[in-house]
Amino acid sequence: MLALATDVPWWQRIVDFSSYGELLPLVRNSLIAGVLLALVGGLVGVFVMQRDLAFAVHGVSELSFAGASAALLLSIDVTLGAIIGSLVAAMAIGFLGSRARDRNSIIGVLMPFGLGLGVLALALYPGRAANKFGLLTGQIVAVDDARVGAMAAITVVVVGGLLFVWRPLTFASVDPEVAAARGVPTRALSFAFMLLLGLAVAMAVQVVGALLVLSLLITPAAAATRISASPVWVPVLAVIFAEVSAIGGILLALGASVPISPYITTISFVIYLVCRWLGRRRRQHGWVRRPSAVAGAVVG
Amino acid sequence: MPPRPVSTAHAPRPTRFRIGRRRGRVGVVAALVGLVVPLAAACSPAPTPGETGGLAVVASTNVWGNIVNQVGGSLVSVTSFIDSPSADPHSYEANARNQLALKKAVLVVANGGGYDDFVDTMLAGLGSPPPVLHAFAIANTGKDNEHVWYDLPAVRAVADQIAIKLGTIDPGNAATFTANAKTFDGQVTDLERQVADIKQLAGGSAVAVTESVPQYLLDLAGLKNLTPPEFSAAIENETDVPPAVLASTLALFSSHSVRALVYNEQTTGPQTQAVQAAAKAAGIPVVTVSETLPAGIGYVEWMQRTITALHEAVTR
Repeated sequence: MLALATDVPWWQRIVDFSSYGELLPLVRNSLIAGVLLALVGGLVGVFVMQRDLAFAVHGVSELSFAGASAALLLSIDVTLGAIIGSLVAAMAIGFLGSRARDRNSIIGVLMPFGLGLGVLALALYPGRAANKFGLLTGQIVAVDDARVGAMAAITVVVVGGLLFVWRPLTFASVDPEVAAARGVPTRALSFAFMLLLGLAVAMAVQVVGALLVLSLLITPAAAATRISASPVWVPVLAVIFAEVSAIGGILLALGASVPISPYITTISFVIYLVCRWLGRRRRQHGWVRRPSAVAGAVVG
Repeated sequence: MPPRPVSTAHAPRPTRFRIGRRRGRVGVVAALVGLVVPLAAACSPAPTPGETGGLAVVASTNVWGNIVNQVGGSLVSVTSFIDSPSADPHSYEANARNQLALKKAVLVVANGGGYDDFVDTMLAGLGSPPPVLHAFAIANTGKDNEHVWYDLPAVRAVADQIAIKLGTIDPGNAATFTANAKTFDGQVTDLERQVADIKQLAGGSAVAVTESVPQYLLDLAGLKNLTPPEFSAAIENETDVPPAVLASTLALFSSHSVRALVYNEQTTGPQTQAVQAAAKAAGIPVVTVSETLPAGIGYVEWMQRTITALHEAVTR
């Protein structure tokens, strides 16, 4: 029997460019999904960094599974349940934690409670649950046209929504007290942003899986903020880093007989390391810290 | 105020030129990547499935892959996605070579029933997917237990369907496929007779399981599964076993209420290991089952070992 590449040493399985021409057309949809997710991830990530919400991304993607478990018990569609779970979690975080110092503790409070409800729902479900969740985790290597369409629609909504609230949201994220004093509706903005975040995460988890969501929503923006504080360059660099990670990862992984996600996570991590190092070097060699350019741009 | 970091847009790339410099922490990483990439690429490529001649067939696990081999013989070239006991088909991430194998396949054999949904996801990503046989649908057991490779009559039915499908794809060899399937069915029927022997000798005896994987085989052998359903459900869902349920499961062994523990060695954890230890401490035999074929043996020999072990355990 021809087992797939198990008798090949592991290092040869990591990079292998044979039959590349045949493999490339297969992942057309994966590349489109990667481009879209990287665009959303780079832009959303900027605010995730500013608002210190990295933990929320993790919480929202975890709680989508709790939503799916509850859906199973209530006998509604599991996929729909996962999306509802993410949105409810995101809105709860946005509603309860509009102030920066509350946010992490609110997520830490909500996540175990939600996951606990998920465990309870699974325990109460009378049938076998282990074989009901297979379709929830996406396969980046195989994205069908319907999922690409859904991904594109979500991208339009999230990017459009972000551009609409960009300036007030930046103000509210960088200096919430002053923003509130000047009449910016910080609570409504927090709520709106979490809704967009929840939507992006819920969709992306089902197309590419939870691991890549974290890698494309958090790491590129974290890398960009290491080397720039500019309100223009941070989002631009974050999107570039996310695109390089996603597309580079897919193209590099293509011939290998191992999954794609470790390539994407490794590229984005290496970019982050390089940015850390560049940022430190600039600080040591007299990086002139400008007065917060982000707040200045909004107020000015 | 146009900021400077134009050069940082190329941040990842210039590190390549920093190899051997004083400040080389990142440089070392880049150097390693730079070395490994061309080296590995130069190495001999992995064999491309389906090019060794024969009809290219893809199976989700090597259990179904082996059965396709029994039916197709040298006329098929089988690629099995999952052949390692350390991979759980319920949560498998496919790679691009898997997808290429699917695209080239003339037939796909999947387990179905929620066991390997990734196959359906991958097929949906192909423009014109090859025909698929879902073993769970063919088995049509009326239950929601997807581990149908332990349901021997169902396995025969799947083998027959594979022969029919291969025969329509390659009509010239249809008779060979049918004959091979008949031989295989004969071997499985012999296994069924041995299971019937267990039923006659020890039918109604009680056993315990860690997961519902071997349930169909236990049903055929007329063995009662005394494990609290909450225990196997918690193991399969990867949640925690309620304390009272764990206590009553462990009590099955200390009170010698069961004759054997049927243990899924594919997914083990502290909770299943505690159960295994309790069985061993009470001197109750442990029969192992799994979800992939052990290396080097075929389906019939694999089942034979399990059935022999079960026979010895429950007729002691």
